[in-house]
Amino acid sequence: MSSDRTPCIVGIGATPFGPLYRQLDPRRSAFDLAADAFLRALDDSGLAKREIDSVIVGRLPSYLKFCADVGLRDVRYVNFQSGGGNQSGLALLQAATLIRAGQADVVACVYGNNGRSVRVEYGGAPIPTSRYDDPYGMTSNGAYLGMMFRRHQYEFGTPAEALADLAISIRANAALNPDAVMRTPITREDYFRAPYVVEPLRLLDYCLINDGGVAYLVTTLERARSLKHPPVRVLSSAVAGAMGYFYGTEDFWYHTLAGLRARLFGPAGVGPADLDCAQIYDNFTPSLVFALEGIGVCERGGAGDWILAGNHRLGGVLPLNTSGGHLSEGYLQGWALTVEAVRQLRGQAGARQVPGCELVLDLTCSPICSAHLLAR
Amino acid sequence: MPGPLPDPTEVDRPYWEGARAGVLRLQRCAACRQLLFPPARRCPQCDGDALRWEDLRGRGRIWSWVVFRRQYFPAMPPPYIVVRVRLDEGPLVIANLVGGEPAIDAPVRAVFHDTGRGLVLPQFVVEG
Repeated sequence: MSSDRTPCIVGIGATPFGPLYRQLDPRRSAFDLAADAFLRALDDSGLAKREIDSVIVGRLPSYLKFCADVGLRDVRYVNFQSGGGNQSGLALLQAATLIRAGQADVVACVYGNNGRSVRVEYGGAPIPTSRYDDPYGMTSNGAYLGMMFRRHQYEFGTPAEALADLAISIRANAALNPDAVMRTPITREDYFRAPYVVEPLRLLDYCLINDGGVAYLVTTLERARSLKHPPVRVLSSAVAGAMGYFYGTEDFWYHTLAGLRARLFGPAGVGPADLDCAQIYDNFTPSLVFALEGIGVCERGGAGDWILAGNHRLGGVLPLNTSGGHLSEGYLQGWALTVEAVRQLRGQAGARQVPGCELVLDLTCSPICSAHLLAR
Repeated sequence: MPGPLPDPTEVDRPYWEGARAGVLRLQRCAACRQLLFPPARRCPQCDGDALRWEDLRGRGRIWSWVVFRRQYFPAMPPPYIVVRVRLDEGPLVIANLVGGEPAIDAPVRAVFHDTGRGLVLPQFVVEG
């Protein structure tokens, strides 16, 4: 019988984000953060370092330096991703694909970000139409998402309270996460009292900027069976891109996400109703609204009502971003959401644990939409 | 004051010359009739490279809009309104709304603002 090469996440590691946020340090190195997370993941897995034969590096300025720093000198496969947030789902897809194909036996996926300490500005990054946008002061994905959300409100009547309730519940989840950056619960009053950044979006619709490292290790089910923790299987993965000159589409990525549903749910033989929780890329709250509709958790235009009914809260139909997500746990550009999915499936999520969690959606809704189903 | 202004290139110089002359001017592909924004060397739809500049009516409707409340560019203190306009001829463009109240689907027309720094910028006002 051939060995089972179903890809499994077997080790997870993350730096505590809260303490790093409270202690700004301009000398803090993204490499050290990534190495810290990597060593935690290695220890968590029970694998020996020499078993790692492949590396995927996110955001760090040099994959050479990272690999040399942690002594991964002879590798079968190595790749590196720029800092873009919508790359995190692709790292997992790449690792899972390498494992399935027999191109790698153990893949280390690592990410480090010292953006807060070195004062990285996220708005203002050039896009293809920047030369036609900048003269008008138009910049940042938040502004484009704000524009899309106002249009969504016009087409479907989605209330601003839906965004408020997302921010509130995600903060409530972070309050149960000792490693999260923002843990003080907020109310609708707090949400509406916070200033606009780019109207219609307010401060609490925006993700954080913080430092941190995240890592996870992917191997075959065969190898995973004899490691420290029960394996978390990557049941299926699907990606779809909506390429264009602007950030966003006129249909809120609905058809992009709807188009990958069959590839995501089909192989696993499940549907949105089978999900126990979801970790969705919350760079800005409207991304969650668009993601819920596109992936079929609720009907098109129905996210507002679905959220107002409280379905997204812990204890609800589909708890969202149980760690506090990018809005409140920390903005690790999608990487920490994958780690949280694994914690939930292992039953390690402490006070925020979803009881009996067996199936988790890990999704990014952006010009590159990516989605994974993870299962115990 | 506008934000950072580009230097016109050989690809988009007619766009900026059009603005100086008080018209919105975009390329139309001679092969597939697609109207292009942003200006390009070839048509993304059919790969045709016979692109002809065409004067537009300068009218459209607001697809959506935002108000910048935080400062991103030193020369542009907030607040200011950015609209995404669906031109009558089809393309979606970005500009500031400099007259009238913003509302989705409100009809707008282009006006032209001399920045005094070499470029004239198309802007929009609500019609009527």
